Amino acid sequence: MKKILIKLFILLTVLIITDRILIYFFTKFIYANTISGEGTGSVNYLLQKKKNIDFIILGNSRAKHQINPALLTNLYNGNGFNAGINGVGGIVYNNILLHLLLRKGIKPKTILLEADAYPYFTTKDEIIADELIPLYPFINESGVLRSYIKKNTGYAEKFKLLFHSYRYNGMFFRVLFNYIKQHAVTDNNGFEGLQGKLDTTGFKLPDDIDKPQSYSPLKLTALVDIVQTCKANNIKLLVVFAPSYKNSLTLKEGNEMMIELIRKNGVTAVYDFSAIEKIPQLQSNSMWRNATHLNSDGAIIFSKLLNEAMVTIP
Amino acid sequence: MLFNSIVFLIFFSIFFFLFYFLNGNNRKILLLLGSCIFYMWFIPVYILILFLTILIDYYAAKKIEDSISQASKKRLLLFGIINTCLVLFVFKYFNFFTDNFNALGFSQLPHWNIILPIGLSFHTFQSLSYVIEVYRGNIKAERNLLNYSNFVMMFPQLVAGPIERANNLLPQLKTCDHKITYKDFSTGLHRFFWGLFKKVVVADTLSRFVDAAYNNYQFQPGSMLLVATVFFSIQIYCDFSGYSDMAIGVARMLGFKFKENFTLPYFAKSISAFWKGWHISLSTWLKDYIYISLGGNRLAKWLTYRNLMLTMLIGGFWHGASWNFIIWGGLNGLYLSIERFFNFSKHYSRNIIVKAIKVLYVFTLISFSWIFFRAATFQQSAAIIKTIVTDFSISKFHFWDLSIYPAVIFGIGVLLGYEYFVLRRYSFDELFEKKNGDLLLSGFTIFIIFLILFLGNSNGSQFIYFQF
Repeated sequence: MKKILIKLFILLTVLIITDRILIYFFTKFIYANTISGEGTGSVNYLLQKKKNIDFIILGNSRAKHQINPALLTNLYNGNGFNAGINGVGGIVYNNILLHLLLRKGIKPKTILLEADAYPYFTTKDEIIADELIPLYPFINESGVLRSYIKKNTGYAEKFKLLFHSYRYNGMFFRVLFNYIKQHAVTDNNGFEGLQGKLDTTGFKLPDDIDKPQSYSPLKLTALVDIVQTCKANNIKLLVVFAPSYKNSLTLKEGNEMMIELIRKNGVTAVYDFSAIEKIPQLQSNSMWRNATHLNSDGAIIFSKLLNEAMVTIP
Repeated sequence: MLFNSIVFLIFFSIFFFLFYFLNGNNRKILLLLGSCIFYMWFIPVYILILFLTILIDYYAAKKIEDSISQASKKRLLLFGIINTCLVLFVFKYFNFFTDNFNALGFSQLPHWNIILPIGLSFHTFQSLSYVIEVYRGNIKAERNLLNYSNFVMMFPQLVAGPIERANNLLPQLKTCDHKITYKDFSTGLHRFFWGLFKKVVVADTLSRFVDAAYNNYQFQPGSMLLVATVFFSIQIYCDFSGYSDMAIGVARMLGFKFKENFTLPYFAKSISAFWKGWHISLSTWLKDYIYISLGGNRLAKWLTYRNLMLTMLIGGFWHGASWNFIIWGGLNGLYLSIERFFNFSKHYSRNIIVKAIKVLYVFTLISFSWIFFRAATFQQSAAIIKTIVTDFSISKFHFWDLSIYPAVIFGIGVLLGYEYFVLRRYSFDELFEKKNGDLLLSGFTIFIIFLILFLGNSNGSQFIYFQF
């Protein structure tokens, strides 16, 4: 037994020491210099290259691919950055990101939050790990992230986070790849237009779009926290509901409830484009990449529509 | 409880130290208790099914040994087989038969909404082999219910094998006084992490692509479906052999030696060689209790082919109650029969190109059969094959989620490198015995752990073979 215990002790010691040294150097020399790539690198880009930005767009892929800051000329002449993220850019992610930006001294004049009722109301449970993982490299710098981990993840996740390598789970090689091509990164505003056209073969509305929905209290709390954080830091918050092809992502009741909640917390600038029947320019499938994302042509039209709506910001 | 979960890590850490310091009956009781906890982590009440099969076969084997007349032994053997199979039938095959009867318009039998008890096919086959071996006089009936329960329920092999034989495992469980050596622990630990790597880095990453393609097969070009099929071949190997590695590793850390369940089957140069290296505990079970019982290859040639087909069809049906598994088994039976007809496995060549072609031939045929294994229905399998053949279109291929490729490329690279250059030549024991073997294994274990941390799927997904 003594030999087994010694082996376990040595294995664990080597593992932990290697883990700490490897991740220390990786974070300091590689990750810190990675300024491109989904999620992680793009946050670094914002933190390092866009310190004096006037407005920041927060949201998921429907923000990233549909709102071009350069076309929002009525908003600080388009001097903004789109920090939307594919797949995992839910409201919890955006709440943590907002706190992280403020902690790092980046304080935009305006936040434009792209919101969708769908993920708030169709989530039956409170699983948010996917929204936290992209920000794990910032765990030391984000008290809000640590608080979410503490309150909303199980003991297994906390155990895994004892290893600092786990902060880069699923992104280690991606970060390395983007580090290598860091010098090829050109100045950008975060927006990425999508190419291609929606193929309507087999298109159908999600099964649960008309069913009674349950809502996620955790996500609604995060939404209110964003509103209050902006208020506390004197940041103007604008909320936009983006359209979807044939309203495939539009939960009417959910939208109404969210708008009411946002307004109750003092936000008056709400731009609701969720009803596609009111936007004839975006009804053709040639404007869409898929049912939930406009292509670059559609994004131009939508960004311009949004810009026109912002002529007078309440 | 899943091997790839933190709860298992905690469970095993506590279990290991208790097991180490206990001996004799106390160890046996602890093992049984641990196995109950492990199994009840899924659906607690299903442990009663396990107890039922244990009691049936324990009683049947004892009575078989005590009987003097051959007729009475045979009756008791049938009692054991029928009752054990009845349990399997009720929980696994009832709906298959009623659905097919209903489809044929014979009657309107009810469909039973029930979750299949995890690992049912594994432990029933293990129980059956024991009764048959006692009947054949190859082993003595176990008179201690605790020993026998541990033989069926021992947690490392309980839910997805390897399907251990009584002559290997029972003697180890009888005394349970063995000393756990440093070598046992070291090789077991290394093997566990190697299996975990195969599961969470390779299999789980590939499954993201495979699931996305197969679940939306109507919208995919043939090129996507072909890549998904090749990926599935690798996924199922890493998923199942990874589980076996973890099971063997866990048992070894406790001082038990399980039989090998996989011996690099994708390097096989014939289908028969593939089946000698794939899920060995099941293929030898089918060979010993079905193929040989039917007459094996001792009868007329056509009967040998019939036996091969029947054995593989039953093997397919063992996997799941669906026509797809039967077709999968039938296809493999057909491959084996054709190979036997042409004496394929007797053709030996030293030429590396010929060898590579043979490996590719085996991989292609086996991958084709996996389409039926992975697809949900026969219609789906047929549609996938049709799309691959008629609408291949490389230009329509899209990479989807780019984040999976580093893990796929690096994971498969490490897998191939270690299996081809190391494990093809040396067993884990031999590696440990080599000069600085312990040090190298430990170093490689740390390397694997880092790969798991960086590339592994952290959601603790289930193993494919749990459904059987």
